[in-house]
Amino acid sequence: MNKIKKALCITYLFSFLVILLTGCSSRYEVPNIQQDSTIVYLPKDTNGINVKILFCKNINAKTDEPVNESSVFKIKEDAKIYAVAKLENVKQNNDHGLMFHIDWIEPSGNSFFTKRIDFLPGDPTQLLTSSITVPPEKREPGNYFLRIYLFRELIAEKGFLLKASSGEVSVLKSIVSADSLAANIILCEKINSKNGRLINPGTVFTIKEKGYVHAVVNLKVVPIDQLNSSSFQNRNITVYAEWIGPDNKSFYRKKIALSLNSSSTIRSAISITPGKRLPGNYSFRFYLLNKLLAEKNFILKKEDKNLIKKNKKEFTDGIKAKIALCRKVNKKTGKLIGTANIFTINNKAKVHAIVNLKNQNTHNSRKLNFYFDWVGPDNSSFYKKRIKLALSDSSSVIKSSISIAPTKRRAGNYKVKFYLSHKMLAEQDFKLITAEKDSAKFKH
Amino acid sequence: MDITAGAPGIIREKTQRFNFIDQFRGLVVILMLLDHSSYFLNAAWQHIDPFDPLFGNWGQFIMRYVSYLCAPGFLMMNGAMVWWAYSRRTAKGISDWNARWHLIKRGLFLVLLQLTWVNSSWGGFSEFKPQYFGIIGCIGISMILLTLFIDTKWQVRLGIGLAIYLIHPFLLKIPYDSGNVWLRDLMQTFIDSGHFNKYPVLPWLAMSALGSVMAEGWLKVWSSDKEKIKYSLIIGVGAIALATIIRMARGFGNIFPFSNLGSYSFFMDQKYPPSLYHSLWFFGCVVLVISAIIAINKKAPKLLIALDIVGIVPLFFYCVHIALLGIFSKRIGLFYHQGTVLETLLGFVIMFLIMLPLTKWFGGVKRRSKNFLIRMI
Repeated sequence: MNKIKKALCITYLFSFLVILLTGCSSRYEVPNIQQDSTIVYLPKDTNGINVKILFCKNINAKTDEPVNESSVFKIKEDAKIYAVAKLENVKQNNDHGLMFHIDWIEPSGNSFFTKRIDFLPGDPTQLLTSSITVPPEKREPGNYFLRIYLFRELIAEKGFLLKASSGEVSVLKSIVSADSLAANIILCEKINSKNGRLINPGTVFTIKEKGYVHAVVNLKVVPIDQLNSSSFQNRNITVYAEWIGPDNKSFYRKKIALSLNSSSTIRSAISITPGKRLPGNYSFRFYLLNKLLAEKNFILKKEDKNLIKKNKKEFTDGIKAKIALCRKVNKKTGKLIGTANIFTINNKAKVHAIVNLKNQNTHNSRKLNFYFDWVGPDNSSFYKKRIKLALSDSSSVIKSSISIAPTKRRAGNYKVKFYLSHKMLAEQDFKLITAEKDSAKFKH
Repeated sequence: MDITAGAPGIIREKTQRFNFIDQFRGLVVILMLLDHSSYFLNAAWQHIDPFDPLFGNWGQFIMRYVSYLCAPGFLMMNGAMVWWAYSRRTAKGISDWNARWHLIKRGLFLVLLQLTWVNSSWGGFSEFKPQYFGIIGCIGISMILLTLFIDTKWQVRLGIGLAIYLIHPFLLKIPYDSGNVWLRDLMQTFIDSGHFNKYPVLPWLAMSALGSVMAEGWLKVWSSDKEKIKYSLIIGVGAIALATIIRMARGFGNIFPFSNLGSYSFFMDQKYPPSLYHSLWFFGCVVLVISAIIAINKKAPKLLIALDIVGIVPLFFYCVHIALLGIFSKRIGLFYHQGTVLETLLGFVIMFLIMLPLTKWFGGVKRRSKNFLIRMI
């Protein structure tokens, strides 16, 4: 018997709570669909506030009346969609002020814009307005909803359709060839600014000072004759290049205006210095009209200092230099004249050192620091010449010369040394003699 | 009922537990599970802004609203626990500083827990997010601050709590540049709510102070259950009546406007940070629910068994259920923001059935363990 009493008590308490709390709502739970397709949650009080929702392309600034009313709109740059909520029975229900919320819901169900409008007590206003822009980079095609809340309770909702504009759809279809596009994203370390050649393309890059990853997207754009019939000729459309980090979040998004008149190449680059990037899996994404068209993944690796040293050593070991000395070089042909190791001190006379470089690492395009060091009979350096050069070819020639006028030089054993940074690549001895000695030698 | 539950740190002895306190804490974390199940599984959370919530139907409203009891409940129990732990320790001859230091350590532990485990568990540990603050951190700091004046008379603590409530609406008017990170974090740690922290310490410290005052009645002065129920009913109804008067006056102490008595908007004043009406209303609700629990305990204690199990280790329940929801729903993507009210309730029941044996197991582990960290959870 006691158990029955307890169960009755609990049932009674629970029912009481439910009745108490359901009484909180001032609207009916079951919606009423009106002729204009506004879904309305009617007030329990017949004199309660009611609402009707309209969508339009514009609003008359003087009358606040909707212009070009519709429920289907096109995604367009600089276009807006206005929502106008016409309220009934405001006056009778506004003794203490009113609080409305207008909530715009995108096709995924997420709210993307909420506007709160408070009416002061006695305010007889009967219109609520709100607007959104619909540029292609912000909105996706689909069914959108607008919801109106009064004091946090949903009182009405209405949907509208947002379509991709027909021209843009055709352009998309013409441009998109996703299979080929994915292959057309090329990532590389550098782009030669003169000839546009991509240097070190790949998908694994090392984080380093002054390091970059460049993305190049080659797009085949609609042939001009096909565009003649479209309103899109000579028009720019917006594309996006987006870089995604290891946390799957975008860290850089670049907006690019793309001309539809010709084939286009889109470029975007990110710095990959140690302070900016962490090692991990990254991706580059390419969007057209807010639609993901292609993606390319890549890996950023930590810089291995031992490997750098090793690479540097391997690189310098791969460069061989040989010095030839001569009196003169033919300016036109580059032919060496009077090659020797003994030169006579004379006015206007010179010694030219010609270095032939053989390079086995042509893939490395960075500039290298070479220098000549001319050493006199006292074993001290009297002239240094620095040359910065990128060894993009397998063999190169570098020159340096000194004057051997009597006022500048004396007879003795000289040297010319050739260095790459601090590593000596080649050395050549030569002798300077005076004119008398030279003639004596001749007499013998 | 006495059960063996050694206090963390220095003392290991039989400690008095108060069933109704455990059961209320159990109820609070179960309501939290309901709210968090809703957050992860309910499609309405695609557009509910917790700072300015809108509700499509009664089910959505009630599911959110019942969880409004959780923060005041937790903070009041925090205040009650601080008062009880301090009084018990000093009565046993432990020095004043040691009694306080034990509570400060626990407060610091909660702050650390917020910045590490709790923050990251929301996203299923997909990333480490120490840059946010939240309810557990707020409880930690409130605990530390309450320790500073826990030895005062209950009238002083009541006065401090009420004074904070009266001053806080004016402090909310202090303008600050939310772009200035240091200023924003400072304001949102103590006064305002925002992206950095939804639970500022000041108003919730006041709730803790009121909890410590109520603890003196529940755990010391009112010796019989009858007295506890009687005085709790008087205080609870009084607080709700005062809150209703403040709400109906539509002036000081209100933040969001409302339509009429008994509507959604009447109940839903601002929670982040709480208005004076919100704080008084839920203080009254907590006191009334505790009196109801004491009454049910007398007549039908078996109804509260589940609350008992959960309430002994509420922090464990809190930390683990968010982590599980975070991993399975958000990280793996199981029904994340997809369900209706019914599906959310189903998810809640499944989660509760998973959590109950886990909590029971950990309760046993904690009772037997001497490990500092396990005793803290």
